[in-house]
Amino acid sequence: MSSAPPATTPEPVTPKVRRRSDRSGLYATVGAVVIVAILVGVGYGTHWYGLTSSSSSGGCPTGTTLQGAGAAFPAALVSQWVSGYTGDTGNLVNYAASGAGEGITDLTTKQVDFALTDEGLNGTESSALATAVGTVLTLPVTGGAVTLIYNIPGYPGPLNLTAAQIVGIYSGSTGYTAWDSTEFTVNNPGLVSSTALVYAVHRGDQAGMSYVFTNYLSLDNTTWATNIGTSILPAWPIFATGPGESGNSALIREVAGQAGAIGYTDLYDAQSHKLPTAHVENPHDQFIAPAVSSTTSAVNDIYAADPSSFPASDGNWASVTFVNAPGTTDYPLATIVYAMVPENPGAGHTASAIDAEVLVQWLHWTLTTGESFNSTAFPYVNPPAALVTEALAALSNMTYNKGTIPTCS
Amino acid sequence: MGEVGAGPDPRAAEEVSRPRQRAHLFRLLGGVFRGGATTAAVGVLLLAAALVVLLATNAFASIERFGLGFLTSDQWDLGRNQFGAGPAIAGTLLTSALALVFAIPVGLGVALFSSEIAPPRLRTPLAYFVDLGTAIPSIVYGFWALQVLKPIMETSVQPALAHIPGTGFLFSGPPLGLGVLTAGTILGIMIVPTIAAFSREALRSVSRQQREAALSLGATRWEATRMAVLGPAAPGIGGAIVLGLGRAIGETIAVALVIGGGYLVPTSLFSQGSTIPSTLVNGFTDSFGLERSALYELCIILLAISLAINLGARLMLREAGSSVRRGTESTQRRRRARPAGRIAATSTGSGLGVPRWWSVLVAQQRARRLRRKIVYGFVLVLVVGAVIVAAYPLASLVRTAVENGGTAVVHPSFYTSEPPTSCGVNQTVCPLGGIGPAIEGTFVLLGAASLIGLPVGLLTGIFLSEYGRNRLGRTIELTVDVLVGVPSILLGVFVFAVFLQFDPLDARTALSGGAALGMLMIPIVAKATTTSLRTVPAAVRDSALALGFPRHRVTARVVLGSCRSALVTANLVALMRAGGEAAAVIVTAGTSQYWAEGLRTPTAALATFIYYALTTNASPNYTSDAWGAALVLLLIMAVISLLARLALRTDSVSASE
Repeated sequence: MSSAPPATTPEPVTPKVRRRSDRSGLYATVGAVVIVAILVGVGYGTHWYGLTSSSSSGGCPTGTTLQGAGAAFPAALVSQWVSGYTGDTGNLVNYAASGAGEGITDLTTKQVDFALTDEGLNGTESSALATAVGTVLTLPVTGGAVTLIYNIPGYPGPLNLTAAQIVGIYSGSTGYTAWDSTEFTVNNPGLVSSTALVYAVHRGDQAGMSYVFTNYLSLDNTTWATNIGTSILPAWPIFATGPGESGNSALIREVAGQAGAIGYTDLYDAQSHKLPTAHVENPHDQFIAPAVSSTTSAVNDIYAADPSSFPASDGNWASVTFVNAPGTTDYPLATIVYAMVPENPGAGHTASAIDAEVLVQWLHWTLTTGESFNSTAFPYVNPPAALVTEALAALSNMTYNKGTIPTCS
Repeated sequence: MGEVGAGPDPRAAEEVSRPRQRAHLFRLLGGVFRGGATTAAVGVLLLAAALVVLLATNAFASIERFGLGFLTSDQWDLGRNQFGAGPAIAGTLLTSALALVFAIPVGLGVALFSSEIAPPRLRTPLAYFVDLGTAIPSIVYGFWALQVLKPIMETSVQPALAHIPGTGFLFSGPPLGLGVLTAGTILGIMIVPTIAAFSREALRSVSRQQREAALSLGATRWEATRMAVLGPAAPGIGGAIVLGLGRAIGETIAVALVIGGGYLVPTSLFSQGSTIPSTLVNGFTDSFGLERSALYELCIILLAISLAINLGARLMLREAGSSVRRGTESTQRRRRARPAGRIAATSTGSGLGVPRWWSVLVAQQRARRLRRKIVYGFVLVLVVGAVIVAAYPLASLVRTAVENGGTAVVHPSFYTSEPPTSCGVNQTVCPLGGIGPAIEGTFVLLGAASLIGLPVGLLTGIFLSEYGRNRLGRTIELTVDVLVGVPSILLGVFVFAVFLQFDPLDARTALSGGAALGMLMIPIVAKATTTSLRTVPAAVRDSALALGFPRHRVTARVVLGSCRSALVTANLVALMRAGGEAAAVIVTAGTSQYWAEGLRTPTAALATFIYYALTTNASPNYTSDAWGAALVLLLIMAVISLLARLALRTDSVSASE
């Protein structure tokens, strides 16, 4: 044993390999985390709108956002409604006008609080919807005309079209491929000098307007009814002309940009894009122009003809149609837009009692204040007064998790 | 030890155990680090498996109902519940083939120009330009195609093509401007930068000595390239082409906007049609039940095609890597058609071990000087023409964006306002609104995506390069390679399906949008991280280890630190890609006209704003806002590309260290 004191083991030194920028990796990481946190934070909390959070302090709730989806047909009116409703109540409504089909799907998969549609649900859709969210209320909120827009250079109009002619156009039948053919000049003599070919533009996505349009064609033409029928996405006859546009905006753009094109859209879009609309033949063999007056009378005449045939608000509206109204000056392609909402919103997307309250408030608003928004600037029509009253009554049957929803005006 | 009789010296014990403690700590940290990286990497593998499984499960109803006939049926009848994939598959294959017909010559021309012929000062701007082409989002290409390409096709190109005699069946039908030909053209324009970039890499990776040897013997640039470079680079170029094809197959938005949308098998190039991605993006959100199941089946078909192409591309690129190493041998082995000239063979015969092409070259040189000059001139014209053809659409796109969006972009209120409300039919002055929520929404989505994508991608990349030299690592690397090429619409559909299954209320929110974009970013970041880490010389790693750094610190501080800027670049590129993404966001985050209220509501985004302006929202003032949004997107992409390129220059470790 050595008598020397134990050799102290020198303290192991971790070698510090110092490069000039040794800490910069750390700074970079920290910086990156900070930036990412800022990005998320900016998104999460900022509200430049001035509203902070949902609150229900004594009066009506404010600051809630409802989610809606559905038809593009009433999109312009809904935009005005939302603006007015937000001004009146401080609640927001995010409406995605991506098509009636998507609205129904979203309601079924619980993505939205309400859907707007201008089509009747078929059996599969309604049973899927019922399974997912229970009883569904169908509330008529607005309506209007489905118009046929066209672009025939050199022809100022008006373009008179019968159902048979429209079927011919959209089937690509012989004789309907050029605008100067005898099939068209028989009631449009001015077309003789046209050189344009016929391009039948249609919607390639699930569109309520396709439903109304094909409903009209099916009711007036047995060949169409047998072969293609009524649908939000019909199996359009395959022919070389006529793109299947996805979306209302795309359809309008195509018609406006293609000489000889014909398509269908709502009256507001036709007028705001300055596109001429066809005069469509009604059951009295009159060619009627789409207008607020002819559409209002159509909607009211249909109701007046058989009021008892209309289902209750929680019933099945699949067979309801406002096409081919009985009056002599009625426009034959009228439609009503329905708000579809679960009778018990707690089963659907509506996540809280406050949301349910705001949903009822919004629906009430559209059925009362919203009905006064129609004007020459926004050419939509109101549903028949009796149906609106019935819809307002149905609102009071809505419950949230089996409890009544407090009404708030 | 201490004095006789005393216990062990506590100080000595402490001094001995401290390094042991530290060693324990390092081992623990190393284990945690390695565990984290492995978890991330295995997570990516599981995610890819989940993608396949979930799509297949959801497609089952349709597979059961329609069987194999689904592949050939051309119905899409909602009323009769009959669905078939025939037109979608045909459209996908046809448009991609057309895209290749356009993009292969142009892309190769650009690659040749930028690697061989361009003066050195021009090469970097050209490379940046090609980068920009890759960075421009699909939605902006689609917007330009609708605005500029469609009228050109409709009024000039299609009528001209129809007049070519003998091509009746190819160019029959009315010149709509929309259709398979236009879709193929815009696809071709979009994949030119991809093919050009990868081909250029392939060309540049061939050893310079071959080329210089040929040049020194008097070969023209073209001949030197043809003989010494194209051979070894061929697999790499092949891989580039296949990668471009993979991109074309998965391209969604631009095609959906110009293909016309009819569900029919195209009978001529002017026909409208559909591709699988366009059918998905148009119909997925609308559908439910059997139709949605049929769409899932389309997803499976697209995934299968995409997998096959990506695997093929990776195999070719791997072959390319090895063939460049064998470069000299392969050029030696290739036989020239012309016999070696007698004149040269004597002095530089193969007896000296000189490649045979050298003797051939010397013989040719004396015999056909003029002809060679003409050929070179001709090739030069072709290549410069290719560059012009590649540059023109990009220049036109930028110009259109500036023209149409310029007025909106200069107003500060454009960035702080919400989108405009509808305008009355007779109103002459409509509210302009702005894209404030769209910009904020893009940031929200990118923030959420980064939280998932960056860490997971980084850790996966670290795993692959540091701990992945085994079968698991190779499998995961292949998965990552393949995931890079998976069409983004599939990722969006997958994430939406996952949320619908487990958390339906959040399926159409910024949360699911962020998750989809995060999934998009993971493979990009992982791949770039792996590549950058592998370029760090072994010497750096070894010397750090030799100095006693624990393994995890070697990776975290030394290796990552030395390729910092490459990593920053990778992250920027991934963010850029996610920022311009429309297809995946459409099916997940939906849309909103309001400022973001957190992650659990639908969110606006720049790319989807433009998409909805082009499809659903018909207000005229919306369209001019959309051009402003497109210009903003372009500017962001351009700035990020520039930053990425500049960052690469400041990398602190170069191969020469």
